[in-house]
Amino acid sequence: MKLVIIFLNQIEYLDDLLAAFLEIGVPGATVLDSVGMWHVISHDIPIFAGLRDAFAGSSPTNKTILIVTQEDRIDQIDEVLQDITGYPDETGIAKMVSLPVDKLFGFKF
Amino acid sequence: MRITDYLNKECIKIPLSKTTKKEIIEELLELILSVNPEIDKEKAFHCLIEREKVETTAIGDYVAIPHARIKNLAKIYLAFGLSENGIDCHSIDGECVKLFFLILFPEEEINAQLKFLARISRLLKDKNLRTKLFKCKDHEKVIDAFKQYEEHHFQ
Repeated sequence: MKLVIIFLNQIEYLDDLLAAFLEIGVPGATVLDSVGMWHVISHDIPIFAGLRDAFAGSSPTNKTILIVTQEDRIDQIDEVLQDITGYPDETGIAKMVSLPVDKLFGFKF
Repeated sequence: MRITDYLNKECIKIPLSKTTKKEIIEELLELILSVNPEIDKEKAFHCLIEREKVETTAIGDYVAIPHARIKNLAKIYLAFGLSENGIDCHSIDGECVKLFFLILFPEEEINAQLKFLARISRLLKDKNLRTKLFKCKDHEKVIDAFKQYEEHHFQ
């Protein structure tokens, strides 16, 4: 089993992405509201406020999507993410990692 | 990145002679210009004041770090000044400012600016270092204080 983490900076893709995940059989996901480090440091830490203009293009909030899934579904998730968002060719839209899961508790597949 | 690599005796003033934030920014900028006359004073001063308008650089604990990003600057320049009585700079904790670090960054080097500001603001969170700096009577003591502290904490 794997834990897939998707960092979605362009949050307008979220609805389509979740719908597409359902279509390929992803049984569930957890979606977290998140904020990138650049936004936090330039807006919440006064000494870095001078860098706001340097990060003006970055999204103020993003979404972090957590999916626990079978290993053979990772490529499908990657393909869906590519189809919908254009990542990774389009930079800054999304990032994805997958991590091994050694034990599961409370999951039903 | 070590702060001591950027501190030099010509750019340290103890005590500062001016009594407002704007005057002190100019006083410290003059120190940098005295050894780097190629820097455009008007442009640098304008950028420093504009940065202050975004949000105060008086970050609390008696510390202010006025700084600016300037186009076509060759490197990072740093000046330090100590105000013995402290200056009201609308600090985020309401305290007056005694320790002023003025920094000029090359506009293009955002990562260097981030690292430098992170390092100096983290260093100055240490009460022992601030206390040492309050007591400094000359530039050698300032450089020694930073050197000792950086050697001890940032191997």
